Amino acid sequence: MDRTTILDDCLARLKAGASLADCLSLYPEQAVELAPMLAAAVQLQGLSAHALSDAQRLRAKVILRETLASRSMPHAATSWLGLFGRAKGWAVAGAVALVLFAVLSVGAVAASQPGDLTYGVRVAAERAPALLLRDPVLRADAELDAADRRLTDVRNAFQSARPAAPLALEALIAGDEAVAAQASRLSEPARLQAAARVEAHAATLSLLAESAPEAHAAEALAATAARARVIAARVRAGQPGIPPPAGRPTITAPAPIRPTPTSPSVTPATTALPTPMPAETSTPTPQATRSAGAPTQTSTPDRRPLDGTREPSATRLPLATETRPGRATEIAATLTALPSRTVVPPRATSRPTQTVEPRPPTGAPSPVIETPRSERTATPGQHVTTIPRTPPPPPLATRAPVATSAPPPSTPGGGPPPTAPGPGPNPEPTRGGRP
Amino acid sequence: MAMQPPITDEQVTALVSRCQQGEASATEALYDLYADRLYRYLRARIGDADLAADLTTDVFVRMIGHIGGFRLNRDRPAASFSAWLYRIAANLAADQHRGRRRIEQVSLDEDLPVPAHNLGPHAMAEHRETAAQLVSAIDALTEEQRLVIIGKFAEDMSNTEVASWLGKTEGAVKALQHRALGALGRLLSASEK
Repeated sequence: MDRTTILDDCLARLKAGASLADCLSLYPEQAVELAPMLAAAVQLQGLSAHALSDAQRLRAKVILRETLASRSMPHAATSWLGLFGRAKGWAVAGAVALVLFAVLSVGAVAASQPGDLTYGVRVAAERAPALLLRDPVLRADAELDAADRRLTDVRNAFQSARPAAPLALEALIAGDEAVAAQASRLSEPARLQAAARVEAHAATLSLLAESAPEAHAAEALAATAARARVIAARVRAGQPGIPPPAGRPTITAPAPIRPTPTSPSVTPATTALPTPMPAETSTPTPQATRSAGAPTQTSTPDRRPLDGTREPSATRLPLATETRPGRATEIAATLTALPSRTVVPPRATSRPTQTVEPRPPTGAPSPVIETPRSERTATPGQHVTTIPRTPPPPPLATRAPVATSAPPPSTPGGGPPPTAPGPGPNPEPTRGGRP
Repeated sequence: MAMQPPITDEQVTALVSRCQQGEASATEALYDLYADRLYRYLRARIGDADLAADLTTDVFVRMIGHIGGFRLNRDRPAASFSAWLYRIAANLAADQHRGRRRIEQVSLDEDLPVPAHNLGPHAMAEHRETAAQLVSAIDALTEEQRLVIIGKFAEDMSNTEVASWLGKTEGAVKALQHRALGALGRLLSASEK
C-alpha cells in the first residue's frame, strides 16, 4: 500500500472518529511520517464548521442588489435615453445643416450674376411663375418683368466690364418671344404696351452695343437688339406665328452685325423703320434735319445716318456710333431713363412704305452697306471717317419713304420730335419707286 | 459540520444565464449556493471571520461585474463556474495578503478553529498562535494543494468529488493531498519549534 493510500485511510478513520494514536498504531512503519500530517489534518477539521451568519448574508444581499441597481440604471439610461438623445442630436444637426444649405443655396442663386454656375437656376426660377399663368395679359406682363430682370443683368454685366452674358441675352429674348406668342390673345392697347416694352429692350441693347468696348460683345448685343425689334413688331401686329428671321445671328458667338436679309414678305411695319440717310454727316447732333417742311420721321437718339445704304430688311441695325471718351459710362448710367424707341403702328395707310425691287443704282456710287459697328466717329468738330466692312446689300431691300404726305405717327412715349436726316456731303442716291 | 448538497450542472447553467441578464433573484440564488463554501476558503486563507465575510461579498460583486463576459464550459458547467468563483476569491485573498504584509498587520483573532472545551488564557493564547501558524502554512501551499485541502477538510468532499470539482483524477487528488499535508506538517512543526 502506498503512502497516499495509507494517508487517505488514516484521514477517513480520523473523520470517522478515530484518534491520532489509533491511526498511527495501524501503520507503525509510517508513523514518523504520518504523525505531522495527521496532526495538521486534525487542525484542519475545524474548517468545515464555519458558515456565514444570517446578518452577514442579509448585508451581502443588500450590497449585491445595490450593485445590480447601480449597474442596470446607467445601462438603461445609455441604452434608451442615450440612443434617443443621440438620435435627436443627429436629427437636429441634420436639420440645421439642411437649413443652412438651403439658405446658402437660395442666397447663392439669388445673388448669382451672368457667368455664375447658379445663374441658370436663377433665370429658370424667376421665369417659372410666369409659365404658370393662364391669363394672357398677366402672362405677358410676367414674361416682360422677367425679361426686364435679364436686361438689368446684362446692364450690370456691362457696367462691371463682364462678358455680355449670352445666357442672360437668350433669356431676355425668350421672354420677349413668349410675349409675342401671347400677342394674338391680347387686346390692342395691351399689345401696343407690350410692344413698347419689347422695343425698349431693343433700344437699351442697342445703346449697350454702341458703347461696348469689345467688338464681339457689341455684335452680340446688337444682334439681340435686332431680334427684339423683330419681336416687338410681331407683338404690335399681333402675329405670334411669324417665326424669327431664318438668318438671325446667334448670341453666343460673335456674329456679323448685319444679319441675313429677310425675304420680301416682311410686313411693312418691320420694314418702315430705317430710311435712306446721308452717308455721313458732320452734324454734331444725333438727329439730322433734312429740310424744313419735309415730312418728319421719328428717330431715336441711338440711330445715326446711314452711309449710302439702304435698309435691306427689318433687322438692319443702326449701329453707326458716335463715341466720346466716357460716353459708355454715361449711356449705361442713363439707360433706365431713356425713352422707348419710336414705335410705328402697323398701319400701312398712314405710313406708305413700299417694297422696291433692287436695282443697281445708275449714276450713283455703289451702295455701301453700313457696317454693324461702324468705326465712324462723328463727334463735333472731328473728321468723320467711314470704313465699310460688310458686303453689298442683299438684292431685295425695303425701305420707307423719306418724304411722304402723311406725317408719321409720333412716338407713343412722347419722344423728341421726328426729324429727317438732312443733306450730307454724300447724300444717298435717289431711287425710283418713290411715290 | 454543515454538509451542503452538491451543485448540479443544470442549476448553474440556468442561474448563470439569468444572472447574465441582470436578474437579482438568480444572483442571490448563486450567492446562496456558493457563499458558505467561498467563506470557508477565504477564512482558511485569511483567518479573520469578518474580513472573510466581506471578501465573500466582494467575490459576488466582482462576479456581477464580469458575469457578462463569462462563458460556461458546456461539458462541466458547475465545475467551470465554481473554479471561476474560487479564482476570484484567491485573487482577493492574495490582494489581502499583500496589503497585510505592507502594513504588517497579522490578524490572530479567535475565529480560527477552537476546540470544543473551554481553554484557559494560556491555552487560548497557544491556540491563537497555532491558528495563525495554520493560516500561514495554508497560504504557503500551492493553489491546487489548497483547493484539495479545502475540498477535503472544509467541504467534506470525497476524493471523487474533489477530482470532479478540480477536473483531476482521484490519484492526482490523493497525491496533492499527501504533498499538501506533508507541507503543512513540516510548516507547523517548524513553527512550533
